[in-house]
Parts: sequence; C-alpha cells; structure tokens
Amino acid sequence: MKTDFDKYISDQIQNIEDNLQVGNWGKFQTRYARHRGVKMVRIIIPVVAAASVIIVLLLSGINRIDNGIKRIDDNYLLIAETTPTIRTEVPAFRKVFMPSHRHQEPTKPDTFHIPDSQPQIDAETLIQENVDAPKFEHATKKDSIHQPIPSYDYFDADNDATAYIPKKSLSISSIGISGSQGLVGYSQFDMPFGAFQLRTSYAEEKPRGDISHEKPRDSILVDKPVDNIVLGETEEVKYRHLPPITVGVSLAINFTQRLVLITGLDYSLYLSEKKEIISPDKVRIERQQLHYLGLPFRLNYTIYSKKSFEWYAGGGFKVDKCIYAKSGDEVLKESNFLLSALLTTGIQYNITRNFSIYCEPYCSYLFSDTGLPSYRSEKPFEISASLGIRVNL
Amino acid sequence: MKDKNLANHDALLAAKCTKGDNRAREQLYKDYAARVYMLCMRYTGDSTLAEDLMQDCFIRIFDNIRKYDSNKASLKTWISHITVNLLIDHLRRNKKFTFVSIDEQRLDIVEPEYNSLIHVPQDVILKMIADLPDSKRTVFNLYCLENYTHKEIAELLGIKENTSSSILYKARVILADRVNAYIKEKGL
Repeated sequence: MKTDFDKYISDQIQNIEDNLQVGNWGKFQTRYARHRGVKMVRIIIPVVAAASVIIVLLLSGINRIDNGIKRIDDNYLLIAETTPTIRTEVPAFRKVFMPSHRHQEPTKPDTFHIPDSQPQIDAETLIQENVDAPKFEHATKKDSIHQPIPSYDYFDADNDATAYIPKKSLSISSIGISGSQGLVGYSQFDMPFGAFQLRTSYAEEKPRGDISHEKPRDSILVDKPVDNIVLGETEEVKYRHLPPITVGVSLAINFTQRLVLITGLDYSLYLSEKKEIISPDKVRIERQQLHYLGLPFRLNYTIYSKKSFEWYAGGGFKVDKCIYAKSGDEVLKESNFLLSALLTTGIQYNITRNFSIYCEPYCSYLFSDTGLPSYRSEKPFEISASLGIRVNL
Repeated sequence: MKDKNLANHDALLAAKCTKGDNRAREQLYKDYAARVYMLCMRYTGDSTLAEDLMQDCFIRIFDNIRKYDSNKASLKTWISHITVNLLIDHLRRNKKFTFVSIDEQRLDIVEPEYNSLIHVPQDVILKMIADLPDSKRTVFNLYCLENYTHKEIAELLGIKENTSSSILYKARVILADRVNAYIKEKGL
C-alpha cells in the first residue's frame, strides 16, 4: 500500500525526469557502432572457426582417402615385386590376377623365378592343380612352398578402373551445418569422412620404374585371392558399401523449455560397389546408388544448461523410403519402409541468439529388412557423430 | 484516443528503429534518455555509473527493439522494464544485494508533514534515495516508483514476498527519518 509520502516522492522524481536534460547522442552513436562491430565479430569468429573445423575435418578425410589410395598402390607395387615371375604362357583366366603391363612375353624356362633361397616350383603343375582342384587351396600347401604368397583381390580396369579405398571398420564421424526456421528449425548436412570412397584411376597414372606401359592394365592384384575365378564359378556377387551421405531439413518444436520434438525430412544417398563374377575370366563392376527419403521423429531433453552451453540427450525413430535405386543401368525397386531407432546425446554452444554450434554423437539401429544391400543393411547398428552449426532464424 | 495515438506513435517509432532509421533512434534516445538516466541514478546512486549504464541500456533497447509490441505496453513502460532488468542484473553481478528479512516489530512510520515536505528540494530527495543501502533502495524504487507488487519484486530478485515487504518498510523508515531530520535541521 502506497503512502502519501511514497506518492509525493514519486511525483518529485517524475518532475525531475521531466526537466532533466541528459544524454549525448553523438557519444552514444560511437559506442553503439563499436558495440555492433564487436557483435558482428562475435558472430563471424565462431562461424569462421566452425567452418575451419569443418574444412580441417574434410581435408583430414580426404587425406585419409589419399593415403588409402597410396596404400593400395603400394600393395600393388609390393605384389609386383614379390610375386614370382611367371616365365611361361599364362592361361587367359590367369590374367585376371595379373596386371596386364606386368605380363611380359612368355619365355622359357617354364618355372617361377623365386628370389634367393626360395624353392622353385613348376608353374604348369601349380596352375593345373589349381584348375583341377574341386575347391581352391592355397598353392603353398599343395606344392610345399612356404613362401607367403600375397593375398589378392582384383578389380576390372577397362581403362577406367574403379579402385577401392579400404573402409574403416567402426564408427564414422561426420560434420554438419545446420539452420533453423520458425520455433527452431535447422537444415543438416552430414558427410562421413575417413571411410572409403569410389575413385577412378588409370594404369598410366602410376608409372612404375622398369615397368613397360605399352597399354593400360586390365586388372590388378589387390588383397584377397578370388578363389571362384580360378574354380570357374560364376554369378557370385560381392558388395563394398560406402557410408551414407545425408542432407536434411528439420524443425524443432519446443514442448517445454527442456523438451523438444525434432522432425523433418532427410535425404540419404547410399553408394555401393557391386562386383559380379560373370565368367571365370570376366568380372563386372557396377556402381549401385540408393536414394532414400527419411522422416525422423526424435525427442530431445535438455539435461543441463548454463548460460550459452547446453547438454541434451534424446531418442526416437526414423522411417526411410527408397525413392530411387539403380545398379549399373538397371533400375531397382524397393517397396519396404525402413524403420530405425535412434539414441543421441549432444552438446550445444549458443554463440549468439541466432547461431549455435553443436556436436552430436548418436547411435542408430535398423530394424527392417531390405532387399537392397547397402552400408546400412550390412551394419544395422551404427555409431556416428555430427558436428555442425545450428541457425535460429 | 490519446492512448491510441501514443500506441501508434510508439509502434511507428519502434518500427523505424527496427529498420535501422538513425533519426528514429536519435528521437527515441532523446525522448527517453532522462527516464533511463533517472532510473539508473535511483538504482545505483552514482551519477557517473548511471551515465555509463544508461548507454548500456540504450544498446540493449536498440538490440531488442524489434520485440517491442505496442499492443502490450507503452514504449516508456517497455524501456523502463528493460532498464530495470539491466540494473538488477548489474547489481546482482556486483553482489550488491544482501536481502535479510527483518523480523522486528513494525511501528508506524512517522512520515514528514506535507507542508514541510514540499520545501525539501528535489535533488535532496533524490540524494536521500540514492544513499539508501542497495537492497532497500532497489525494493523502494521497484515498489514506490515503478509500481511493482511485492510478488513481482520477489520473483525478480529471487526473494520471498515477506522479505520484500520488510525491506520496503525499513527503507521507508530510513527515508522518513532522513527527511524529518533534514526538515528539522533546516527549520522548514
């Protein structure tokens, strides 16, 4: 309850206010301009920093990929150096194992040239035994050669061969840039790095000292033996899958100050390399691409927040539908919906009212079966992380 | 009618400021500088600090002017609200508050006679308010001059309503004593 004394003082204060001349607009303008400059820098610096982190991660990923390629090349060269030189007529199907530019004109004698103290072996015997064997057995066993023969894989060159970068076995990190609209919305770009990537290469691109390069190689020996080719089996299909690339737009709806529903629309691209053995001496390699649209539903709960820092956790599910699938020239169809569960936790730092950076590790599990093999169907349980920028508009 | 015109004027001025119209900003600054300064002065009791905080208040006002809704409050009320919040933040940040509930028996306050009170210069009254301890000055300002209720004060300062009430009582006692002493001293 106000007293007369209170009212009197209030009137007097009002009277002073009415007659007071204060404030220096010019001085304030200078200060306000400085404030806006600082504010702008406060926005720019974190954005530049976040962009730098993204670029560094990308470069790191590219570097790993390049290293992967180098390793493959090294493997190839190693094989070239350590593989016994065949000085005999090499049967056509054997060429699958050998790079064409390593095929020197056959000369006598018909023996392997095994370095130093290694025992020698009759090549024809070896080849004959391999062909006749009901199942492929390592040549070293049959012929009592204890020299380790490198394991081989192959890829069909056809002058624009596709080389594989060995994949990372476990988690995939990813980076993201996100934005928001309305209550809190954001777009997300997830790009896994450090895994493996399809890349074309030509034999001519890697000149090799004393090796003649009269024509591009047709095949290369890498990694594992391809037993079935030796055995003459056909129609075997093998896949190598790339981690998916996801682009999405999301909308976050605040139920309470701590509880947020996140939904939106994600687009995912799954690339795979399909190797199909169509005859003992011929392998077809195709690129399979699966395009999915996904509808995520996730509830996030802010566990802890202080000033600009937030820590949250959440869970939900996602429904994916294949909208287009293609393997080589063939268009594939997939009518099933894919259902996956998702658990996540993340930290977010609000740089300004409109910009936040976040790091969001998550794991997901795919429940549904699909007729289209992909990275996800091969690895239904996935652990990953997103690093990105969230924009609140 | 007058209120409607004022609301339109406030809305127009705020809209221009939102668009970055420098003239509109200047007008708003000049219109409300005295109000903001007086609030700063009353809450801090320090003219130099008040001037500095006034600039901070206007920075916050211009940064948030797009959020102003003329249908909810007048521009003066909105600016006062922002200023008071900033001042409370400042005082809290500098740990100037020591809110202690006073359980002493409340006696009637001997308020100065109106006929004597009118002879007390305004700047002296302002100085007496400024000289109150921070917590008492804040509650007195919020209740008597900004028309906050004890419930609102309690929420704003994070104290109990009773504490707010008892602090206000103490502030009034001190202020009345000082005014009475001044009147007695000057023979008014």
